[in-house]
Amino acid sequence: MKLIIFISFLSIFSFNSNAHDYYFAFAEMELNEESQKLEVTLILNSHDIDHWLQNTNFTLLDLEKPSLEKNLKEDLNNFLQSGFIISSNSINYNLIFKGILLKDDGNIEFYFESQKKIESEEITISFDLLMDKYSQQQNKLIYLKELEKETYEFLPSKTSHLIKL
Amino acid sequence: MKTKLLLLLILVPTILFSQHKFAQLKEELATPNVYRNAAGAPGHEYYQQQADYKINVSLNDSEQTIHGEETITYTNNSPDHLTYLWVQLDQNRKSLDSDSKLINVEKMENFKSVNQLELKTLNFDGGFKIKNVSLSNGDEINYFINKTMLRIDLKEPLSPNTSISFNISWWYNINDRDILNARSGFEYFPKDKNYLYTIAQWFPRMCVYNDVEGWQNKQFLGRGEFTLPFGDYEVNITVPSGHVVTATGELQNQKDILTKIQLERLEKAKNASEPIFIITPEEALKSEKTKTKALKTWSFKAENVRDFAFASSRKFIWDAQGVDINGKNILAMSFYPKEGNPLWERYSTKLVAHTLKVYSKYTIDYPYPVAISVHTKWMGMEYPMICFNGGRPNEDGTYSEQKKYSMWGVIIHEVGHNFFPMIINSDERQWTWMDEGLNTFVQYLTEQEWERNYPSKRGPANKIVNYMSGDKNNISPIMTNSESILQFGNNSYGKPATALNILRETVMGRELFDYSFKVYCERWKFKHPTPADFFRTMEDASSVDLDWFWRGWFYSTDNVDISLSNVKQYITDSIAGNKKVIIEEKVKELELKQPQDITIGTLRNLESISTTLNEKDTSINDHYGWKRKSYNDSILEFAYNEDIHHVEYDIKTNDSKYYYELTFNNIGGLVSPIIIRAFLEDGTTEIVRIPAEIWLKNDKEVSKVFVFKNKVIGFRLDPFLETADTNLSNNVWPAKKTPSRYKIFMQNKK
Repeated sequence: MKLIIFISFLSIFSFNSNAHDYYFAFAEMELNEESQKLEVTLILNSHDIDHWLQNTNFTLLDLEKPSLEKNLKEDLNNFLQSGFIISSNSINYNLIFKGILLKDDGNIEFYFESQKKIESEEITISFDLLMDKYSQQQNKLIYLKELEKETYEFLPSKTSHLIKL
Repeated sequence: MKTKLLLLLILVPTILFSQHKFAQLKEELATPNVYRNAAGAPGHEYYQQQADYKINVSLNDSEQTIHGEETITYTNNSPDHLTYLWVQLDQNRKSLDSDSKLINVEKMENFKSVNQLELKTLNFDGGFKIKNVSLSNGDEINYFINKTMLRIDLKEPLSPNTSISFNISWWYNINDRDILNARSGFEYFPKDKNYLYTIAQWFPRMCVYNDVEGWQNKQFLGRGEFTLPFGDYEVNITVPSGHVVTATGELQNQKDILTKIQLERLEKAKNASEPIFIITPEEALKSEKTKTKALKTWSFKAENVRDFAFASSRKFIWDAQGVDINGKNILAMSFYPKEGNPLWERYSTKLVAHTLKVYSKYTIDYPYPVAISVHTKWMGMEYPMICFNGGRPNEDGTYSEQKKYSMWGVIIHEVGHNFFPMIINSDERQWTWMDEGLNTFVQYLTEQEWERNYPSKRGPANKIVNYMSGDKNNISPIMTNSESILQFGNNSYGKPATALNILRETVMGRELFDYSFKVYCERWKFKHPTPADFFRTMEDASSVDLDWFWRGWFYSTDNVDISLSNVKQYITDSIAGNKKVIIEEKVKELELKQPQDITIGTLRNLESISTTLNEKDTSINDHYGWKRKSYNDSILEFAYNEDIHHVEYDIKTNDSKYYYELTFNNIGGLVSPIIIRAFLEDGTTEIVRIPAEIWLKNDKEVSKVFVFKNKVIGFRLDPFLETADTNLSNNVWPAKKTPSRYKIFMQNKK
């Protein structure tokens, strides 16, 4: 309840610090040419994860442990994958959680690999993580393609992109 | 038709010229005058108003209300005759008919739960209830309330250099922060049934009247905070007798309030180099359990401040230490409940002391007698001499590293606000960046002197690229009024702090920047500066034309993205004299053995900051400390190498045979210095720095010839991540595939 109230009022009241003022989540994605699976890194600010954790029985400290508790891993997986969906021809490609890294700069990186081989030349990425909480949220995907980097922006008004692999 | 053509011929060059990246800021800045001169300093007829307050206030702990009465003495130092005065009623933003609620743009889809919808029907009335407005002799006075502003109609205009005194009495309901979060409010602790109040913007306050805005009486909508005239305050605060009160200013009646032992501790703390308790955790715990109906009055005085805030609770632990600022002893203090520990007793007061020292070095000497940090659950807000700061550990006392850094950052930031805008008193209602941006910049400097390689979230150029490369429809120029800013934090805190860091490290250099920045602070301390005063001072004191920089960074949403789009190699043919022969060999892609990226600030701080606080005071390091220590070693090695291969660049006298023509494209639109690292075949590297003025004649594409003693096997732009270049992948020649984060993680895992 507190969290909901806090979040809903953030857009109305401003504080000079420690308020949520980042409004970014990032993804980096690459197709592994050997395995033909997508390798994905989701990058979130620890504030966001901290707020999300307040709805669970865990704290940020639990993320620092060498291996995540099963329940936390499942909860995190569901939370992140509900906001980052890979699909093609109406098939969703589930992601396997491969690891987590808490960075010095306050970001947390989550690593995933697609469960199946990607057999299509085009995929749709839907990336609306945190947009239900923050109206100013804008997410960004960087797709690594040989020497090139393709950048896709996701806003509440456009939450998905078609990407040619 | 001819007239139209003529007009077009006149207008087109004018428009083109005005849009030029290096065009001077003539139209954007106000014309200099007798109040603010062209050098960016106060003019010879600069004036500012004075507002002195005598306030009696009582805090009702059982009803959570504030009741107050004040006498304001307002002195008109302007050359104008004032027929009315404007007073701010910030609490009216929490009144039932507040415009803030009405103007908040919503869609039904924004409400994700019934609870969120229920908030829309929340009927909390936190607005001022004005009971009386009268002259100091008791005569009635006409007034009119327009939402968050109160106009006092004077029977006779207030002439220049005269004063008027009048009284206002009021009350209001204090908001519960857990329901209605705001800058001011209370937190209830259900386990011990106590309240912790952090009370701000709680009394009717005079608006600023000046040469720029006339009366600054824009309505308070929530984002644009405030600007206030300086004045002297005498405030008596009546609270339950078990409460401990801290406030802007110095406590006047400590002998009536504190016990003998507490008085002795307070006296001892004034010269203590480490925090010592005035009220111990055990005493605070005892106080939590003792609830009496008796009242006590705490009296405070503050001179030459622009506002007054206070905090009150039975739960407060109180510690303090002395801070020497160029021979003046300041008392740094913290007030926190047991829920703030272990973080607060370990760090808060030390952070206050450290912040005062570092800010005093880069801005002005801290002029007030005390500086106070008060614990809150998760917010941060500043007032003169006192600030409210978040950072609460888990209930069992454990805390994550992120929580610790968040708490450190908030305390440094909010204490830093004493300088911007409490003393260098810019108009927050108009320009958020003038206090938040400048403060965040000095916050970064302070963090770096607290702990080596402190992971500052804002300041270094590479921290802003994600924001600046975002969708431009969702980005505002820095020079946007506080209420209209998109992405508030990045716009008003991060981007200006980054811009100043780039000025310091890359455009001006540290010596010129630090001197000019200090000139600005000295010129405008206890005064009301505008953006133009800042822009002009920075140029006037440094002899660096920065109009292109202000235009690009402050007036546009362009970003830096400079690509190294082409490299041609030439070699001197020794047989045919100096005839240059194009070598079109394809350079084999080589693995550029490049050290881990280090920002320019980090690199230079290795030399400029001989000892950080945590290197002097080992109690700063906790169980998280070891990680960063090991990280330092690799930086040191790199810095050493960098120094050895410092470039010597003189085409006339050296014997270099390798010539390279590099072509650069400005893709992002924001002109920037170009920093190039050349990787030579013999394993050395050279750095070349080119000022932004290379783009003077063509801001889209430029080329430049470089001479090296050895064959170059690779180039990289922005090697120290100092220009906020948003796309590093086009900075490298030959093009090189960078491993993904996923691959690096999996590699390190093995």
